[in-house]
Amino acid sequence: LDRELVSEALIRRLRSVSALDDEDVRAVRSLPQTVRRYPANQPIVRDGDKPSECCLIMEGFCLRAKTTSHGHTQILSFHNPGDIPDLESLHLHVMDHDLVTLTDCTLSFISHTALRDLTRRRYGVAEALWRETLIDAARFREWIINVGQRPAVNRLAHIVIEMRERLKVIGRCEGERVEMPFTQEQLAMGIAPVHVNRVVKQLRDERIVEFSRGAVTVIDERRLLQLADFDDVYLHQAPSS
Amino acid sequence: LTGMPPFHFHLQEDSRLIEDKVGLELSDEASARGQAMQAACAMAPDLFVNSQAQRLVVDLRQDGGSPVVKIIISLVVEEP
Repeated sequence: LDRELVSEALIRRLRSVSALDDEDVRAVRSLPQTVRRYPANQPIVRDGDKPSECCLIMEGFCLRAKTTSHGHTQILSFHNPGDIPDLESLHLHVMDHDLVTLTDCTLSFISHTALRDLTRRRYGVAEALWRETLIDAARFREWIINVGQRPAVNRLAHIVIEMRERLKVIGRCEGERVEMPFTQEQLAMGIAPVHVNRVVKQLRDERIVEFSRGAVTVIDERRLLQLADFDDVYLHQAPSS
Repeated sequence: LTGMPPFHFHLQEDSRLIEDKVGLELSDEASARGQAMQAACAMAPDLFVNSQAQRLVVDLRQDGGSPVVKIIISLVVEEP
């Protein structure tokens, strides 16, 4: 991958949520980044690791998860291209969960030393990265509401709309087909597989969405929105929001 | 995944039947029984509270159709 393309991906991400001035952009552009490819279902960083770099997802999807001592894994978040899913490791030195690839991924790694050095020089960049981690936290709050308060069918509707809105912002979702390369079990965020089957069948039978390999197609937008109880404020997908 | 024939978890919500044609691949019968129990308990609140159903059956069968176990959860509300 070309060097230009790599730095532009990071700039595009930061600019989509924060206002950066020209000098901030120049500084971000000069950050050294190393591109590495990962196969699907491979840990990028594990619970307990002490990473020395953060990664930007150039291509592919990842998830964050935590496994209890009894071996039960809880998915915490999904990540699409443009996300920096382990940015918190810049200041939280020991990983408290896993970051795993869901699909084949192209990741661009930025060393903590370089990032820390940059944030000390450029307040604009520091604020943009701070905002990134705050948006990450806002998504988690919505995830807690999903898992704790929304019945299975509403939960599933909500995550479909959220992924659609997130992919739209990075120009990866046109029309009604939403890329969601998750298994039904992952999609359900902790609902038992048999229960997921039932919910998927319900959404299908009522002609609300169609599930295919790696994607969900919205058929009845109005009913899906009704089920999802969706308000996009928590995504903060514009510098002014 | 495992190459094992899938287990089927047919559901009955009051009189509504939901057939599980695809099934789930699981390592053995014990884990299928566990899934049936887990699913029934997880689905019950959703059904009883949000869909006003009163009876839920998870009918676990082997791939050929022979029954393994039925988990039945009924809602009983007693007024004084």
